Amino acid sequence: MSDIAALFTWVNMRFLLQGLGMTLLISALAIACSVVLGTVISVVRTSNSRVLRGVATVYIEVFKNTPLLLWIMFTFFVAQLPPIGAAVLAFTLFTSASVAEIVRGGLASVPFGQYEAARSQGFSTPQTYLLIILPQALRNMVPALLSQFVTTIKDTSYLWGAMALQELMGRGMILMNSYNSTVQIFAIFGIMAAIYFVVCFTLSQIVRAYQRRLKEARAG
Amino acid sequence: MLDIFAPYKWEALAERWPDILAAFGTTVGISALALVIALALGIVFGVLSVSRIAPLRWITRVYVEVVQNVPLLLQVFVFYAIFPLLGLSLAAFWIGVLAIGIYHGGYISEVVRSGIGSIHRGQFEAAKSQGFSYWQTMFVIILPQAIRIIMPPLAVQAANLVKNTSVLALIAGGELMYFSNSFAGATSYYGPVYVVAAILYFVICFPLSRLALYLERRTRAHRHLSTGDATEALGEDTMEVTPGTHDITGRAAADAMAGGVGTMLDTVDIAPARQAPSPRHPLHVLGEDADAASGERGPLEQAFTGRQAAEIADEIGREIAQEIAEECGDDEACAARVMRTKAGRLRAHRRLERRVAARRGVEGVASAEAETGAAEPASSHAVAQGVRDLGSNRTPAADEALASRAETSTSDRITKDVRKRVDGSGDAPAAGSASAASGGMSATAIPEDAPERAVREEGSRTARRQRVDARDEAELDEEAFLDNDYVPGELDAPAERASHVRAPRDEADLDAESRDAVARREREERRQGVEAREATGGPETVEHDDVDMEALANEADRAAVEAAERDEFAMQMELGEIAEGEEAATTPAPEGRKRPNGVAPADGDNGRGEDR
Repeated sequence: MSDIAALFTWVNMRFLLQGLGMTLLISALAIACSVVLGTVISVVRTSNSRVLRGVATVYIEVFKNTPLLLWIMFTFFVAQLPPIGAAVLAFTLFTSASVAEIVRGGLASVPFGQYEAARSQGFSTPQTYLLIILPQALRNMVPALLSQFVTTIKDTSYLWGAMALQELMGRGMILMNSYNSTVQIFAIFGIMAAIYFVVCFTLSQIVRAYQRRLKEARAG
Repeated sequence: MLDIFAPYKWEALAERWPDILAAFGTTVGISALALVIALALGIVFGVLSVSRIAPLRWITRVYVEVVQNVPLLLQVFVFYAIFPLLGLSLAAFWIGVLAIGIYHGGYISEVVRSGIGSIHRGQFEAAKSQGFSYWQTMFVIILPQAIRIIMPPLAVQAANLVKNTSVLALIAGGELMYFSNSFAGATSYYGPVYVVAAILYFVICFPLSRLALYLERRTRAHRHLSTGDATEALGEDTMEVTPGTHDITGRAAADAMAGGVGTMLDTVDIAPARQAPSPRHPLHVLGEDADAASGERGPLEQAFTGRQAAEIADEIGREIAQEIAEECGDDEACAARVMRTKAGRLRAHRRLERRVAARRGVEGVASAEAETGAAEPASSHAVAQGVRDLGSNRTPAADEALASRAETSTSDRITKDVRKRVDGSGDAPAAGSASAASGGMSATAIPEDAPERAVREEGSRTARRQRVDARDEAELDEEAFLDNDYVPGELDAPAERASHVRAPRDEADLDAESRDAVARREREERRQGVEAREATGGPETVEHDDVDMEALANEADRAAVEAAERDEFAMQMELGEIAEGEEAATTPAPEGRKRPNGVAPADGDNGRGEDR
């Protein structure tokens, strides 16, 4: 037991939590970029130009049907970006395909009357989207976006293996190097799992609560 | 940038093609095995998660939450570390299969749970009232229905699973991603190998996600038949319960968010549902004629209420009883005997079907003559053929004729209903005069009808007399048809199925059909035998209880026939109600549902365009 207790030092915990910070930072950056890129793709996908629509569709299909790890490798080794940049870019590419679908749903959730109303009031198309439609759509998109955030947080664990970026997973693995006993190794696994679980589970619960509220709001 | 993809690098990669294939094979192998494990776990935990026993539900909850909220890679690492401890040396391949199987088992169990949750409570209650045990209910009644709803997200899960096998690269899993990394690391030719890997992953995953899309659309198209709003519910539910796999929900969620049925009716192509109808009662066909004739009304807009549905279902039962009574004359004992046996009821059913066909035949002749002025072929088969072709362009007057013709026969209540719908379809003022005219028409039509029918029945009777065996087998076929026996693949060939269901029994086809039917019957009997064995508690009771088993099998048989019929009606009617409500909601402002071009390019259009 003392073996395990030896793990719970302030230094170790801070070390891991810094890793968590890196995890959250990359995830948040990736999600933020993905929302922007995903929105653009989604709007392009509903464009009147067949070519633009085709490009957007191909983009979504390609990134939806290939593994994330591949894109991490690609941005890191092929594009030769620095680790954090490569990570954010890979996640953005991969996640924006999913976010585009979410945004599509969100846009579709805004009643058509809103478009008509905006138009009748003389808003231009970009104005209509930016000022009228997207703010409303965003409300419906929040649960799905948070879900995507959870996925991204989990997926950042690849980064250590792929490019030795010291996020939570990487920090845990580094920590393992300084402890030898099996019990301690598994305890570190447990701690990592617990941290991931707490973060992701909390977010999932928020998603659920928010969704319940949306459903009630829609029903009531 | 270009030298990343320099030709000599491609050549170096091309030399390794056997390794690429081997790695690709490993990926496929891991995926397939992991999918099997995930499916097994998913179904077991999915069923347990709706168990009545609270601890079982808790266990599944913990399993699902842990698996879903901890990174897959961490789980893989734990497995990787834990097996040597247990004294097992497991290859990375098997660790991957296990870890990924368990991981996706959690997701699939949520999918299964949602699927079960989407089945109407009434199904559980009905099963219970029929004496099914909990497990029988689950595996015989509920899961088969849920599968239709489960399939689309399952296909998405399969695609995700394939993508996730790439994680194993980090524990030297020997699969595609690992090969790519090690090739890239060894040669530092990074470019080509990742492109090839991307293409290979795409080759597996893209068909799977297309399949998901296709299944989802098909489910949606069939939603009125069995699932109600299940797809929507699932869309919301999966989004809710499986954080991060919103692409499970993909389109379902998008459409659910888009605000439900209205959008769906606008954007979803319901043609598949029309082309692959479930086996239906002949009287449905009659009703369908009326619908088709009434012009503008869509296939989803049958104006039935639940009460009407119940009445019609009743009526059809009575119709069949009447057929039987007609066959037996005043002989009560004969009627009772016929009614008790399945073969008797089936015979009555077929007579009813023929009568409806004859009715349609007369109507077809009338309208054909009205339109073309040409004489119709005399053969009854040709008439039926002609009717099928003409069914789409009937005039309201002809339709009135149909309604009043039907009214003169025994099935007045049903046809009154048909008629009510015809009347209610907008040309109410015209209906009076039309029906007056049709009075005359029916007066002239009856003489035409009678010989027509006589010829038809006589012809088929001789044919059947000549082929007594064929008749029996035809009944078997009929039986399979009534049992609504779902044969995998049948739905995939909608045209074939439609013809199977709709075509009047062409004697020439009976041989082929009956072979089919015999096979199906055998399968059915085997299944019933197994069920009966289970029901009677195993082999020891079977031996001295053979007769009982037979009775049980018959009982189950009958229940299935009746349930299938009842179900079919309930679905149709429910659909009618939905359509009714929808119509009420949408008709006032049909223009309002169309998005102005350019402001918000039509979502539905786009969805369809992209689906193509």
